[in-house]
Amino acid sequence: MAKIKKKGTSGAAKNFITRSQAVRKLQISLPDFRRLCIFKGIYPREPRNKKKANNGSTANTTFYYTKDIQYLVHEPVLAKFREHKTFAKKLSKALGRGDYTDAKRLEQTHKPVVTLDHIVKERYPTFTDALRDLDDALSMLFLFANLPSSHNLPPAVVASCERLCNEWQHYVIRTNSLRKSFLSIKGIYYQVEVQGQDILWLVPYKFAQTIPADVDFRIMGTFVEFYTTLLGFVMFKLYTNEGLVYPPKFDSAADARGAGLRAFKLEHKGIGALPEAEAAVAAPLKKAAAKEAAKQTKLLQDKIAAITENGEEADEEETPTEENTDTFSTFKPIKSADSTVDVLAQPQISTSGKGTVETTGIFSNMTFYLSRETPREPLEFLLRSFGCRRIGWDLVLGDGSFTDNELDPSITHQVVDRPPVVALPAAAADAAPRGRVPGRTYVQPQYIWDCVNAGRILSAADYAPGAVLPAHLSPWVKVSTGEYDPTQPIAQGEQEEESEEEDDHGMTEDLEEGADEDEMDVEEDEEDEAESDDEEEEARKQHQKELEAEVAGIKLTEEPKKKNKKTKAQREAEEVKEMQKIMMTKKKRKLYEKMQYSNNKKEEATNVLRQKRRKLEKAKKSA
Amino acid sequence: MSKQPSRKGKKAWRKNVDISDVQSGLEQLREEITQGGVIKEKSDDALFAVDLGGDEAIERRVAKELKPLKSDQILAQRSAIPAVSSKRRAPESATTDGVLEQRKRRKDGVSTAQLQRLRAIAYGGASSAPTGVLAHNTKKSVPDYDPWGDDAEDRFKPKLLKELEKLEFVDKPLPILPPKTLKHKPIALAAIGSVPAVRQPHAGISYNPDYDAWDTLVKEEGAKEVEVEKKRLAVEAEAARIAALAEEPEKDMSEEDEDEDESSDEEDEDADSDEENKKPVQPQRKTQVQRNKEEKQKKQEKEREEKKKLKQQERELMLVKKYSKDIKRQERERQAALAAKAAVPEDDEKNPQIMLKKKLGKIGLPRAPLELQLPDELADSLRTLKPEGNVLSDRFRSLRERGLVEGRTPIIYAKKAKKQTTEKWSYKDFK
Repeated sequence: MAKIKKKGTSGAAKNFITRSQAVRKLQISLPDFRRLCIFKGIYPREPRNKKKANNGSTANTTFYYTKDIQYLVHEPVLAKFREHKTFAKKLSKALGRGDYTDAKRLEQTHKPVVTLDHIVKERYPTFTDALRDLDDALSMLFLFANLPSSHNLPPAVVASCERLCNEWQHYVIRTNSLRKSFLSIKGIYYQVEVQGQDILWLVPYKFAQTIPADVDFRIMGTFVEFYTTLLGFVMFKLYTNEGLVYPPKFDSAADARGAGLRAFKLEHKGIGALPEAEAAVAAPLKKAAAKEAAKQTKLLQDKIAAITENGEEADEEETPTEENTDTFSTFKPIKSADSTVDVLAQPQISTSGKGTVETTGIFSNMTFYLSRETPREPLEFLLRSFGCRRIGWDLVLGDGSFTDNELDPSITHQVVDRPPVVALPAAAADAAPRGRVPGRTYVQPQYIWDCVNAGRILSAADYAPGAVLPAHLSPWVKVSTGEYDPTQPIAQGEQEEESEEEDDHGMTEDLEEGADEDEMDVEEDEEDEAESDDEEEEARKQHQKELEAEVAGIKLTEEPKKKNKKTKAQREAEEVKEMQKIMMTKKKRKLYEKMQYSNNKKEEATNVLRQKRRKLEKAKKSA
Repeated sequence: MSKQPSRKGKKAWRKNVDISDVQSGLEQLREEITQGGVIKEKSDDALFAVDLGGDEAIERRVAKELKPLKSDQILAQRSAIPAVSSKRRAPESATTDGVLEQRKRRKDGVSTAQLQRLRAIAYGGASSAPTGVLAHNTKKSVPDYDPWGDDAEDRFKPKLLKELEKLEFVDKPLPILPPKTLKHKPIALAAIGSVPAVRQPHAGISYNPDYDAWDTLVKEEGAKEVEVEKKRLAVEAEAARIAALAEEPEKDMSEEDEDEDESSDEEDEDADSDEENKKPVQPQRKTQVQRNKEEKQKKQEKEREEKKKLKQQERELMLVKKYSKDIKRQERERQAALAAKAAVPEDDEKNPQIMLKKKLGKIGLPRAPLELQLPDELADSLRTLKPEGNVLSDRFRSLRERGLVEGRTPIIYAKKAKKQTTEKWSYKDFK
């Protein structure tokens, strides 16, 4: 007979442990256990059969992997928790005796301090792992930086979150890594690309945070503690890679005056403080001065090579920054067919190695002024990330402005967000600061976001103060080919052809290839009908001409029937397709027809939208 | 003129002297001081000025039309003498630096604030946020090394291990390796099995949305809301039905039961009488002919059976192919059913909407709050935007959605032990 197996010694019963069992095993309190689990990344688990995992009980409990909990036994933080327990006992004894000086001494000398450094390294073995998890960390820290301090949230925590957030923003500005931003009703979304990783985070609007009762501040605080440590290390690594000193110089006096980002001064390693203008320049100086000289010679060589061999592309990946500055000096006005786009001379920014057009410096030759009703922090971050060096704002918005004189002649753009003033007298408008300053473009804040997402300077006319703004589109929604894209202008030549144009949504593929697969292409039956109508018309006209020629007594010269021939060729192809359609199985044919139907519908909708827009544009032109 | 009273005698002289003119003079002087100084002492420049202003008559006319309120007039009066400050000042210096004075220290050099903190540490436990083990010391929290660098490994080694490594003759302790289970992903509460840390926003929640995107979002959310409402109504109707059933008076069941019992009893009796009447049947002898016939029949029967069996076998052999096909089909169907059961529904990976009913911990995840602005709430510019939703609850919800923490009801008011009152036995002594 086989050996009798004892119940609860293998399988789920052994692999899982309930929360209360774990707490008892580790001999710590439940809140401490929660903290430890959050720090170490130990999550609640779900056994396939709860009854088997919990000694036949079906009570609702949280399970953990036994091995995870066993691993926690060796955790230095756990040891620190225990040390704290003994320390607290000593302290309470001293306090109970009324021996306050002794209590104070104990606190200064014996209080255990925990660091989470080793946990950061353990949970994120490589730097890329850490970058991947930055979404959550940044969202959390930006949130806490914007919260009011309370008895749950000491001001020191808020301050450290704020510091880290500002340092992160400085890094993003310096490396031009901001890609997209979106104004939602919830907050502002930002997406950056750091070392090939897309990082998305959410920043709440200022002064909008109420603290709901059902949020557990202890848990949130624990996450913030861990993320503070994590982001500190990430910032150190990023700054060091960039050749900067970490932490950057922090001017607490300026911060108290509301300087925000400007309270920090980035410093080069070994060189000292960067000049103010350079610190904010779009194209950062990445390497030390000695390397730069070598690079420039290399760049020259590259250029020579590029000139001699036109076909070959110069290797720009190595020296993107210098390339940019070079191209800055040689402007070429862009001739665009777009009717809505401002023909503003923009520096041609070279494409990077990946093939994406870099649009990092779109605001580089502009001077902005922010009126006092606009949100300064996001605007400053966005503008500086896209190359704007000179941003002025009203003194109300804090310190560190380029200029607080609203009438400064160097200002090219002013961001305003107030209802237009009703008919100012002309004389007053010239002198008074409330009126418009001539030679300056006035825009609403959304303009900046839309420019950033479009990657180019848009026409400011649509964003004038008081104007009905165009919709603020999400930068993450991609318009599929052939569909109506409201951000793209309709080309002039396209207008007439559009309605006749055959658009198959990139589905044209040979049926022979797609016959055995589910993919099938699309053709238009309507097209066929339309063509036959055309032909009849043509024939009628031809006949009319012949008659006229006969009357006049001229011999009609035969016109080449190019169009007809083409349609014939097309027809043949269509017939072939039709034949293939007949040969298809019923299931595939149905699928094919469905696809055709939905595509036609989509195209109709697109055409309607295009027509609407064309009408609007015409109305605008005539007005 | 009043009649001068008698001034005879010292008393009367003192009593009856009229000093009202002196008093009024003094009063006037005081008034002059409050109004900017004694007029007699002032220079002519201060008292007189060349009137360069406009016609007073016009001003009076205007003043007549716009007569200021009495209250305004009273409020407009200001004394030239500065008011006595009500602020308490330190006796040493008349001026302060604006910083509030600190509370007095206790005798043994520990302030009350410090004492409060010490008490919190001693009795608050290791996890109490402001006092816990992880002090938010800004100097400490700024890192000065790269944990992913080459030299970082050495930092994380415990001291004991480092010392042991120096000793060549001691066996090295086995390294404590993290279990594989530590790398398992947390159980996300979305149907597709994962929720991103920050969900990609729907295009319809733009502060100034595109109509189509906004419309689709409104329709989606509206459909969800209708579904919920339908469910609620169904639950209500069911509750009402049960309540109605409970209120109906119960039928008198006892009478019917008795009737049934009687009838069944009668039937039973009938059955009994039949059985008694039956008599055992005697078997009769079979003739040889009968026997032969029976045998023949049996034989034929057997032959027929065998033939049938053979035919069946032949047929089955022919059908093996078909059967195998059938089995294969059945297997395929079974697999498909299994796959359908385990199938992941289609959902947006960047912003999953279909959540599981599963719960980690004692309470399940509530419905996501509605983040949507109706036409009258939508702002026409960024300035007038009223933010919707709460980022703090959103982050907290995200932690639960991703399965990083279990759900639990917050304890806002902790239960206190009930006070029990008892009377001492000694109360009897006073009776």
